[in-house]
Amino acid sequence: MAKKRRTNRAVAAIIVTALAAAVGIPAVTRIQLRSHVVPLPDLSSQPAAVRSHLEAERRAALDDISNDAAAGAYCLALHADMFFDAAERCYEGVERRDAANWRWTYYRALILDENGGGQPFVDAMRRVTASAPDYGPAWWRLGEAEFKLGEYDAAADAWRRAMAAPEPERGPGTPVRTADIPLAAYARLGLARISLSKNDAEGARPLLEAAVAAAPRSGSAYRLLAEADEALHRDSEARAAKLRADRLPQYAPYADPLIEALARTSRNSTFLLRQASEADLAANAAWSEFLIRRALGFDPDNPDVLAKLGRLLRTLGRNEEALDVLRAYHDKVPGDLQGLAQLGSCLSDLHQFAEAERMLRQALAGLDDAQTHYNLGVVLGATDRVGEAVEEYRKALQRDPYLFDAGNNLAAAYAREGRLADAAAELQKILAADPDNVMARANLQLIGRAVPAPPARPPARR
Amino acid sequence: MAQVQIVDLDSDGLPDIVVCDALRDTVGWIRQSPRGTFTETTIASIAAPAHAAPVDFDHDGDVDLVIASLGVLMPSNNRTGSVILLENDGHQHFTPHVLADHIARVADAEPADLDGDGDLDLAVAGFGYDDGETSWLENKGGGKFEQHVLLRLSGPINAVVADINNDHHPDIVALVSQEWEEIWGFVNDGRGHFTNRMLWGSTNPDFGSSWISLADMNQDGKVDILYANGDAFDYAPPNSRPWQGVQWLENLGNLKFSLHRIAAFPGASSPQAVDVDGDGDLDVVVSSANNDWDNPQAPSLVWLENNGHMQFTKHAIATSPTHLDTLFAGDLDGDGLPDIVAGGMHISRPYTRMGRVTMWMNRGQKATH
Repeated sequence: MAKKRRTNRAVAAIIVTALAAAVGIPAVTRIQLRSHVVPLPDLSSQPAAVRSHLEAERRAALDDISNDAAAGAYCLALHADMFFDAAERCYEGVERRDAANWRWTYYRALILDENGGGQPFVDAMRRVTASAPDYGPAWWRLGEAEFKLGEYDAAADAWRRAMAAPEPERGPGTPVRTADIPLAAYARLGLARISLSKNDAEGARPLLEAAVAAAPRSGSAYRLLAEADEALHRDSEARAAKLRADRLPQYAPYADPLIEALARTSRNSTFLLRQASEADLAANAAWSEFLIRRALGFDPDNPDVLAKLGRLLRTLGRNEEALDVLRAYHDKVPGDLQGLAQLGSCLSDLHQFAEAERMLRQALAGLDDAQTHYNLGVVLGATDRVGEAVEEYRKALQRDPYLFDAGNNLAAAYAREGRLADAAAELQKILAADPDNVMARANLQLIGRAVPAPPARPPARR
Repeated sequence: MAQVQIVDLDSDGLPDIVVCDALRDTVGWIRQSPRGTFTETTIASIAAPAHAAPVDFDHDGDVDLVIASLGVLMPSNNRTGSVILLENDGHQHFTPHVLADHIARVADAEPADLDGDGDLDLAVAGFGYDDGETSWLENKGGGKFEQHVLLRLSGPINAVVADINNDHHPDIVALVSQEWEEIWGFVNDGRGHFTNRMLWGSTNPDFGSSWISLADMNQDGKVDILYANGDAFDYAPPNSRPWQGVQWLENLGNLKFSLHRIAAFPGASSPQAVDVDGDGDLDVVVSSANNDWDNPQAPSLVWLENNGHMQFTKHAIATSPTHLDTLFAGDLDGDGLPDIVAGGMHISRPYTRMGRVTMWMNRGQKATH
């Protein structure tokens, strides 16, 4: 048996040599190149779109074995479809055959980054920054990695380079993905973290002021600014920065164009939804929707994609479209009470109150959370059952005293019942907890009660 | 279920189970009496309890419970967190005392004498949401506590007390999740003065830090950190990610720690070091809160067997119930072998194969459900 295998191998080697000679590539090189095209991972549980994507990219790499770009495209497909181990091995091979192209090292380093970073990631990023000193995201990532290793001086050096680097060029794809926050602002955040780690709030503050000036929608920058202000006992400024942060998107990493390229390649719904989640809808709603709809196309049986699309459409105020999507989700996952509550809330926004009420009550039977009680209160108020609405708003506030929308609506319901003193008391409660609550302040003025003075603001800075 | 643990709450010699049910807003006592028979009663109604620490807080000879309360389960920046002492009257009637409130949603509170004055203070993980803090509560006497913030980063999940630098003073180790994904050490001079040190950090802001526990994994006399990253609620779908798993941070001394991957395991949560097979080394049991549950073979509970050289082999113990976010290993039936109790948190699909509290009794070579 062993002898037969050896014979087969010898025959195969002769065939490979003959074929290689025919196309002008030395046989040894050809075998080496083939070895760089890693085997397909187990695709048995993958959607058809992922299977066909990877099979096609691998075939293309094998069919044009001397083409580095084709080999790299297969690695990118593995990466974008979240087969990290296979992608990392694949990149190693392409790095060897296309050593002048720093992007392969960068992409391989991104996998090390996902796995937590550490010294191998630092080493790889140092090679990238040596080859591509103008690619700012590489400096930023190097700073992150050095910081996490406690190498603050090296991190500061890298972040200063990122700050000075130009914003990278973006590809021509549509829809356009813009950087929500400029790279330099991320670098400043990093430098500020170093200062804060050294208890140097004075040093952190100007960095953070510059960061929020350049990136007024960076919640993270405002949050660190609040931390610096607290440390400096600038309490009112800290409070203002924190309140501002609460109204801004959560942290998302820099919108790296090379990751955008992966997103445009990916057929993996988890990868696509992650990228969609990281985009700030204020500037990148079309990009986010594009990715979610791609995910739905590639993975049509995945209810999580439907849920995500429904939430996005609701956020964008496109409730009629959202309704169809949320109904489809509910059909797939009838036991998800949060999904049911979301559907009820959507129906309420569309003034389909009878069905909304039915859905919300059904959800509440198992959920009993503040937001759903609030949403049911809205439906009851809109259908002139003010007394019942009051009960639901109260239940909402019992479960979450900080649900100020419920407090405001409760006050409005009291006012409709002519209970102005009760209404004023509710609004005062809100303002005691959140002096900046514009709605409570306006409502209090509407019912003619004395409005407490707004909190003192720090003087404007030059 | 936010947390389960094995403790002999009524000191009758039979281990019981204490559960923090954050969906029902209750702390429950699953009493074992007689041996092998378990009955649950609610001992307190607390808003979204996340963690219970058993301790004789008032030195009266019975087991009290210190409860970390989120206030609300769903993410919020509102300061709904609190730390509550459930004082045992000796007959398992518990009187609540609020030790701290109106703080960031509290995920963990661990009692220890942090300032060396003989009374119990508390290390507190104030998870919050975007705002949060790691702090310690100084016991000022008379039921009064003063909060000292150690780190103003959101997302602390655990604040565990141990002497990490072998200077005989209790330090605090905190796991900080959210976008930070860092493990911090707060080194105590013994008088409640702490020096902060990041012990490890991930560059991936979605790394999914879910839990740490402390143990001398390699039995070299220094406390190591057992660390799981399996949280997947940063973005939908909450299922497996390639980077999720279990690792240990080897304490090299001088506050240096070296990360060693133990195993990839989607949704890894609540790792505990325990000698499952009685061979003298520490194995790891770990649950999964977020696996690819559409695959019926996806494990929800595994045993990572140590071969004595810190090399681990993964054995699936269970695939059902799914969504096991918390476990505790201990000898429930008195046979000298560690059994496992795990709690499920079913807030994402699929809503099948659900279980609130489940026990696996260790029968020797192979655990049986």
